[in-house]
Amino acid sequence: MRTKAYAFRLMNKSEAAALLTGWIDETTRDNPDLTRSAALSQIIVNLISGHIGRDLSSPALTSGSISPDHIQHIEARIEARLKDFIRSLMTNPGSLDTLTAGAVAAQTGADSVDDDFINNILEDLRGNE
Amino acid sequence: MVKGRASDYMSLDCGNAQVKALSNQYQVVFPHGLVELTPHELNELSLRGELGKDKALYCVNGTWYKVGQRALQTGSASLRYGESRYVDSYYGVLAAVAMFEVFNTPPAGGVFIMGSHTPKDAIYRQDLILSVRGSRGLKWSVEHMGVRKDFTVTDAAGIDEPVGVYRHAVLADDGSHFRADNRPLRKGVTLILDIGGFTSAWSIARDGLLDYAAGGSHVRGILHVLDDLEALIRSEYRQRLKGAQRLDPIALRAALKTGKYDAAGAGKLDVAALVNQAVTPLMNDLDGIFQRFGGLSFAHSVLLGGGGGAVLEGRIRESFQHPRIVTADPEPNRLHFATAEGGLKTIRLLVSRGEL
Repeated sequence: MRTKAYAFRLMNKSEAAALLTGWIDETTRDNPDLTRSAALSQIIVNLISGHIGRDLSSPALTSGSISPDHIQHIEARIEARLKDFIRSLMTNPGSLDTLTAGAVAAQTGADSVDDDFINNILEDLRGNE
Repeated sequence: MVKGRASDYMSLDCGNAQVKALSNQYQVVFPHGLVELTPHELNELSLRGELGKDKALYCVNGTWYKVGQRALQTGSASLRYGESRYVDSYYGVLAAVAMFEVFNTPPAGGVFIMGSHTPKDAIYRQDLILSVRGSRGLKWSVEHMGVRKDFTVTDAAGIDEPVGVYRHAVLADDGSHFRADNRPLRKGVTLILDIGGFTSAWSIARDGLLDYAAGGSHVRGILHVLDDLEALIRSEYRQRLKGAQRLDPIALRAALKTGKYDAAGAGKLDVAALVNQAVTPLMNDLDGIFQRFGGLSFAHSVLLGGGGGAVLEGRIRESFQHPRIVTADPEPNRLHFATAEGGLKTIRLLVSRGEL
């Protein structure tokens, strides 16, 4: 009945970009022959195949710098964003190196929620009192 | 609204067809069905030692229930409609089961619950809030498959279902920013349609602000359409289907979009005319909503949510020819979560602003 968590989307864009950049850094450090594009592809393939946290096939995850608890946490946060990454990869095959931050940031606009919007919500919630 | 009391939170959309719940940790969806075990069943299962081994069984505050599909198989008493559901022994129990599923460990500071309900009904909202507070002073003890979790509900609030859809569409996942892709939904008039399993609800937003005085619902949803379509196909193709009593629900949903029913060994059936017949009552309901405003042209945008929104999107576009019809979630198979997602984003926004 329970499905995997989807809370990766809770990360803000800088957190998510930092996470992915870190993965790519570790993967390329452990596998100097890999380009950053190939590293990202490998990470995504691992995510897609659901291996993360289980068979630990990704070099980024076997490097020891990411603890099993951290992996579990990441796994819980990755699923929903994955589709966005895949979609972006398919539409931007030539820009993998710059994709990470951009794909994560794509959904969130620059506009903060304004006071009118907040007040409109509070007006609704006053109906709870 | 109580400030400063949200340790963790859950958004709950207890639809007539499915119960959907989200927290920061997990999401859960299960068929809407709940029935208390009879004394006989309780005895039997207890003697056989199966109470803690059956995935469909939950013990909530000392009472054992069947939940989900297994409850629905028990009979009509397992699904309550309207006002009768908003009591702690029903809605409260479903909320407790949902908490069990969306939290690995009960949050130490308690759980704030945002529950959705049909639009413009203050009594539903009040009863919903009271039902999750429960009669045991906000305490919920849930046991399932040998695991027990004890929850404290800090407080609850209600949100109209289409309002949840709208907030999901315009807010980014952090709740405190607007989504860039749906900026037009915050300009002019947006008509929000939440087409659920058994009901279709609507609301209006003007320049990004919801008009809480406008809204309503019809007791007809996508499951009625699918039931009608199934009966029509079985009747029309009785011989070819060799008297099949049930048709494949996934193929039925596909048929609504394509006009073709994939009957596996019996081949692909042309059911376009039957689809038209099955969807007409619901489309008439939608048209009735538009006519309240003199036609659909009153709205700059039409926003679709609910599982029915995903299935009927193409047909609605084709029938009503509005230039801006958008879905609340880009993933059709996530659209039934739109209301609950909107509730969760609303909570995040309120938490980020210190309002919760």
